[in-house]
Amino acid sequence: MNSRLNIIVAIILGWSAICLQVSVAPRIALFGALPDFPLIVLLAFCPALSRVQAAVFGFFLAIGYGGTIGANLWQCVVSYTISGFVLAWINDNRVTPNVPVMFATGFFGTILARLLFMFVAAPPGITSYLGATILSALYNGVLILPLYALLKRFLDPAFR
Amino acid sequence: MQTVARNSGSVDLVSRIAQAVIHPGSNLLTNLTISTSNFFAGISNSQSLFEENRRLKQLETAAQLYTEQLRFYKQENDQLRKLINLPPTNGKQRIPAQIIMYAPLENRVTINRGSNHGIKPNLPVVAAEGLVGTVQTVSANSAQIVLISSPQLRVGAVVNRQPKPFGIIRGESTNKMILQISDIKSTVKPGDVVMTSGLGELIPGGIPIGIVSLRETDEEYGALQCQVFPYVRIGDIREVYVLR
Repeated sequence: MNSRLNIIVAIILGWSAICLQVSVAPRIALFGALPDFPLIVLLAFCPALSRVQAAVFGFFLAIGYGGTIGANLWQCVVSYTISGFVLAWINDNRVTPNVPVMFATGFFGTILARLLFMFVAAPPGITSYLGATILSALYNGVLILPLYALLKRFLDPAFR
Repeated sequence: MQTVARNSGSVDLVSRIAQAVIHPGSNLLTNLTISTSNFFAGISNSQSLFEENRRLKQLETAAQLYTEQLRFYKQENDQLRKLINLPPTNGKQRIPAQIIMYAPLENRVTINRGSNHGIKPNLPVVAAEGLVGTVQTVSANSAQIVLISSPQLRVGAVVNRQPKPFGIIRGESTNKMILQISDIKSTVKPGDVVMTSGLGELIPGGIPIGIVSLRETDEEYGALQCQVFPYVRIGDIREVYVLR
């Protein structure tokens, strides 16, 4: 993500995602599962970013989101930064992004982020947490697709 | 830095900056979401809303009378407590506030009232349905509330039956709380109403918390645990009161 346009788009999308997460997400829960808009934005950007860029983007998203909701910042930073790094690294390895790949990115990226979140500070009720994680991962896997399509359309050739 | 600030009831610098950047957008989106859903709900339920409005007007008249009586009894209660050198009851003043940010996974919400409006850490927050949580951190014009569904929050509770079993309630998940009762022989049953006990310093008694959904007895440790389903559905509420 070298161009100035991409950085501006990333900042705007990150800000919008955090705003959506704290205002709209609780009202569109499906079977108790909430989407994670900041994570969706991070994962949708991964094909266009290097590992370090994705980690930096994840770091700032985590600071913004964690700080806004008063969450444990350390927990958010570890979860988002490592998830961004790992997903960008997988995409670096000649995985061509398309609809199934992006769904898998959204699904497994969410699982990875939530597991990291859990390992840093285990929440009570691990079973219900894991159940909610799988549902959220499916939700994120679906929601990432339209965002990816938009990014691919407007930010190509950054998206391979 | 974050923990130190939180323990002192204030907001750390990073969170303050993040909140200042995000608040305008999230406020706008929250208002937009609520107006849109209200608009469509109004169209689809217009007939029932008309009926409900008529019933509510009748109820309002009855409630005004009841409120006057309640105010009279509260004053009398305060005077009697003063006579026997007891401090006045807590939570008499209600500060209305609106939820401006939701973080249900973190068991937190943010309201649009802060230290400028007299909000202090640990004050209880209630909605029409019951106890929402307590104030954790306060900035000038906003405050973060730890929800009753949070495992961090422990509140003195009582089951509304005779004799009244006292216990401590804590959150476990959005739809489940755990009430621990020391009296193992207590006859608590599913369906019983759980309320605040009023034994703490700041939370007044009699605020509904939830309903007992399951009773579990641990004979070995001599403990009685009840699963409690909370009354408050956090995604559905917007207006709350901070009790001071």
